[in-house]
Amino acid sequence: MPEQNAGETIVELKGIRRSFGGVTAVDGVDLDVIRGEFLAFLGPSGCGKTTLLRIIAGFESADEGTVLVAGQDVTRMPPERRPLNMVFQRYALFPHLTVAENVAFGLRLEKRPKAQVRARVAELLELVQLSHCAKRYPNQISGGQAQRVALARALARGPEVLLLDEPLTALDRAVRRNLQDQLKAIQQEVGTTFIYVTHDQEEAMAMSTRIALMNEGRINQLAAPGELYRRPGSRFAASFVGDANILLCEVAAEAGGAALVWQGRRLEREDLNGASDLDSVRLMVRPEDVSLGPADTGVRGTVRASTFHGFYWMHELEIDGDPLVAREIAEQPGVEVGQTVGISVDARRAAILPD
Amino acid sequence: MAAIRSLSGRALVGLALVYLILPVIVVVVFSFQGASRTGLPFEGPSLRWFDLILNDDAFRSALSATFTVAVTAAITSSAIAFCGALAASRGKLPYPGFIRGAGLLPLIVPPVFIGFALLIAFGEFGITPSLFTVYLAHVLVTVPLAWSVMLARFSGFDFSVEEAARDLGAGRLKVLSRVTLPLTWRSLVGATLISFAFSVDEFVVTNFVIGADNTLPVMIFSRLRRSIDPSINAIATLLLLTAVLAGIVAWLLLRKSAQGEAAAEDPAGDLTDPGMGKESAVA
Repeated sequence: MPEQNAGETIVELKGIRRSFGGVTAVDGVDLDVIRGEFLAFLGPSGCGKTTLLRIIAGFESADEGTVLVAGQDVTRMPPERRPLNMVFQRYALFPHLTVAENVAFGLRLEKRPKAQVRARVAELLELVQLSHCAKRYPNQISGGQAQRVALARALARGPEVLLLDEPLTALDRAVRRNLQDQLKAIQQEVGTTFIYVTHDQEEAMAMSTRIALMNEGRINQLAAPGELYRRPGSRFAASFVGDANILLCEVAAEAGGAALVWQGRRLEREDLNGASDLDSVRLMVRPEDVSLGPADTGVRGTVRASTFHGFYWMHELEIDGDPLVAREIAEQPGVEVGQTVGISVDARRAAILPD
Repeated sequence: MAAIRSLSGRALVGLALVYLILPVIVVVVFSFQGASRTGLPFEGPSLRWFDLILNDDAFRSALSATFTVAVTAAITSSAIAFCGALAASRGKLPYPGFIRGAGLLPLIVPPVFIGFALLIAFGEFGITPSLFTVYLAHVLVTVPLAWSVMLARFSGFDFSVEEAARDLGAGRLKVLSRVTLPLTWRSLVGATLISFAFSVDEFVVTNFVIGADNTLPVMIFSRLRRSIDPSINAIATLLLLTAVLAGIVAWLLLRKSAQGEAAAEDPAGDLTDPGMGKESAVA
């Protein structure tokens, strides 16, 4: 079992590049993964997250760059010798072996004593709560169970790092939620570093300690989930993670500094993050920070549509042809479609985006 | 309306079957003829022709030649097909479509052309026609059969199990012996049997490249040129029996493989209906 040495780098990527026939999949990635963390590679399809994971695993080779695992250069090492294991999107269980034999596969290759293998397999099946399925074949268990077997199999040899390639994508929504919790609990129990590839931002938010947001082969932003949501570093980050309004604001000089002006109204915000010298900035405002009132209380806009999402309403608004969304946590909506409303935003909770 | 259509359809299928099977039945029946001619009246049944050929040295050497060539050629071509189809299906080679097609090519080229071309090629390289050249020729003509069987197997193969095995510490050979072969051996044996059955009665190409030896089909042909000897019926019946047996075993294996392995590889739609795989395999 890996020890918990907080702050220590377990995987180090230096200048990783990889292209497939002229198409660049990974375009210069530098990254330090910290021992014991749950790191998500998040991004749209084709952003290079899976390729990057497969380069760490050894299934793809990097055109340029170095991969270090636990201080050891593994760039040219075949996958079977790397001290990490992988959970695949479509489980990849061995259909000709039982659940217990699947979990034992890696241990038997190590030629461990039989009793030791048996004990370890029992321990792992206990961990993923599948002891009762030990003698079944992969075609006799459900998808959610199959992925838990795959997890137990990958953890069997006590890898330094566990790589997970969209492990929940093939599952139903309800099963996925349940497994998210289990995965997180198991990660905390065993303390293994998890690198988790997903295109689902809610999944990344719910599970990881840090998110490496990827776009076009690069890491766009590396941050804790809350920070990524509140302080996105780019328009891409703002719009990929959660819903975002991007408002063009003027910067007006004031006595003792500068202030943001949106649609002719001064916004309350003290820190302009060094944007005081610019003429205008883009401000990212989350829908829950947009409030609606009577027409004379804010910027005038019209409600175009309202949809109910279970515990909140999303209102699609329009200000002189520009769209804006507002989230209202309520059972009944406070505004009607077609109504003219006064819109105000909480700029203190908003983020100024670099251009 | 539907009843009439199905009735006429059945009649047509029946006629086609009679047309296909009747000549075979004639040969098989007359291999048990007691009289010294192929023709009515039928006397017997008698095993005299089987007795005759089994004590005939020429037949016995042709039989041994046929089996030697068939066994070695079938093993060689199924091994080639296994490796080739595996490589072409893994998706790591350039031009996989071309490679897949190339393995099937000898199926399209007329056997007469293949035989003629091989004869010339062997001559150019100074290789004397012998059972060895027959073996080479049979590998060439049976590879496409084995190739198509293995391609079919690997087309639905989930190669992530190979990656999972490597990830868990298996080197390339261990992956082959612990994962890939256990999952595909039925198709591999099926491909071998089909190649074997094809090789046993291959005549056209063989006739071009054979030297002083005889295989059974060549022997039948050369005996026919002299007279219609009823012992030929017995030889043909034995050939038929061999090919049919190999074919049936291959069919059983491949059917099992289509059901069992395909179902085993798809854990998604499994618990509901265990009979589903069977139906789709038949259809």
